[in-house]
Amino acid sequence: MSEATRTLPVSDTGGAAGSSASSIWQAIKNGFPYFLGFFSLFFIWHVVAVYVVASVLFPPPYAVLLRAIELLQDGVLVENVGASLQRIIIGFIAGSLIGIPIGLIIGSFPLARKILEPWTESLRFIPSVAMITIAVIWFGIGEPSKIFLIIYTTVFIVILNTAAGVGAISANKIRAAQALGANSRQIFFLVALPATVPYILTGMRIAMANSFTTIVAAELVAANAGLGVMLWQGRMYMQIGDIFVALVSLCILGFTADRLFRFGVARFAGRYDVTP
Amino acid sequence: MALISLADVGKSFRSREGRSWSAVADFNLTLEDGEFYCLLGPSGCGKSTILSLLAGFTLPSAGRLELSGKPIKGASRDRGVVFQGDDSLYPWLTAVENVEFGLRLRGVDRRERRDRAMQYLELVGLRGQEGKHPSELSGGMKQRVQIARALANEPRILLMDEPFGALDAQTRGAMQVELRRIWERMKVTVVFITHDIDEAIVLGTRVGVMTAGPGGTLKKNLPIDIPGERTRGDPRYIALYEEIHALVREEVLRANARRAA
Ligand SMILES: Nc1ncnc2c1ncn2[C@@H]1O[C@H](COP(=O)(O)OP(=O)(O)OP(=O)(O)O)[C@@H](O)[C@H]1O
Ligand SMILES: [Mg+2]
Repeated sequence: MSEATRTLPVSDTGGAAGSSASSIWQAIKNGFPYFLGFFSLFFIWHVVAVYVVASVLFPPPYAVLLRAIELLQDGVLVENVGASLQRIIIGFIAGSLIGIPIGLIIGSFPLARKILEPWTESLRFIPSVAMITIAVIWFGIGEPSKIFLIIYTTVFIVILNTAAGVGAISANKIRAAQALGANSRQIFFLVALPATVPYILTGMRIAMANSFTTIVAAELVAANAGLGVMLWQGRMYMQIGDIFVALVSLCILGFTADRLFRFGVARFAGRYDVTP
Repeated sequence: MALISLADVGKSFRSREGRSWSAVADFNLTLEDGEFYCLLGPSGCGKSTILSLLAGFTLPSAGRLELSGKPIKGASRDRGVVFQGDDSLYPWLTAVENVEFGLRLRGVDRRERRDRAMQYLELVGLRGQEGKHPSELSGGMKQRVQIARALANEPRILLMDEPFGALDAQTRGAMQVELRRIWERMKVTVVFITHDIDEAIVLGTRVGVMTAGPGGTLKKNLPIDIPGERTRGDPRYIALYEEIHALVREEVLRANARRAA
């Protein structure tokens, strides 16, 4: 008993100090529940598809995998995933680049807040999906309308979170800098901005997730390529397999993007206390 | 001329309902260069408010605050501040980066500011902890990082709000000795808020006791002229302790009575 409780913290520090065998073991121990979770997902899918539903309308995982390999080989999957991903990345980056400075301004200057809040507080309630028709009318069915929609999705969430982050900076952080001799430019770049980084990243992460919703919806309505197009054509030609490949691709893309983001946050901003 | 003077200083805050609340009122005090002034008083009497006025973070609602004869209009590098609580540290910087922050603002080059920051970290007993972020430090360690940060900037006046509140008795004792030594060596003027009467007597050249709020004001100033080592065995120490204790006790009782009413 006492042995066990004592070895726990010891193995903790020992692992960090880095005997590589034990850290691999640690990684396996930490990763196993995740593996189990994913495995059960596919397993239950398989059971339900094969034994419960038993219909061509609900293919089991291996059938979807086979179809995915086919689509990969003829390049269709890569083309569609690439199209969707490219739109998301461009729109997301542009939206963040627009949203961060606006959020910083709203958070820093009460006057700017009063002037800009009517914009953000009314426009953000129009779901980007509702903007699809007007985006297509304005920008056509090509890339610009999709990118516009992703920017629309991203910008308000980033603005809101950034402004909230600026508002949450404790007065003493600013005061400490003033008493150390900081001018307002230094306070902005060396205190306010870094203090807001965790909030900005949180906003971007939510925006990224929402971008997937928007892009699929937009592509369903009007596009030449993309996962939404794949889903639509799957319905038109009753290609159930294609629909499932698109759905699974969305799972994988969303999961990967979110993980990458979290990893980035931990890597670059882990030192920024995320609970301020 | 006095280094700092407060004449009939008052500060009121407006509550959310719009009522005005007087935190301090009719506060009069002059501080000479080189003093070590300790401010005592019941919780909520307005000690931090006074410190924040001295720092220049807030402006008085009434009266005049002057530094070397000039009104205090804002914060400045000549007045270093150690805050009550630890939310003034920068969580994205390491301990040593926090300490050298003031030097960095001034453009002191990297090597030199690192050296100086390390000296002050050593002084507060945090050698070996320089690479840690505030979230990895204990409450008392964070407090010491704050002290090192203020000292590294070498201010003329040091404003400290219960800086040793979070420390254990041993560390507190060591820090008191260190602070006293720094005060002697660097010829700084210190305004030091504390709840600990012993601490005030050991450190100060003068102790001020405030009345309970609202409208806290200075009740009495007592000079501490006990030369040499100040120990609890000394009869002058005991007499002073008794006097301050009685003054503070009276105000704490008054504050409690007011709260009960
Ligand atoms: N920003 C503020 N807004 C409104 N009221 C305030 C503000 N700051 C302080 N007060 C009020 O002023 C009074 C004095 O507060 P202050 O922080 O100066 O007390 P203190 O003597 O430092 O207490 P403690 O020993 O507990 O730190 C309190 O009643 C407090 O509620
Ligand atoms: Mg206080």
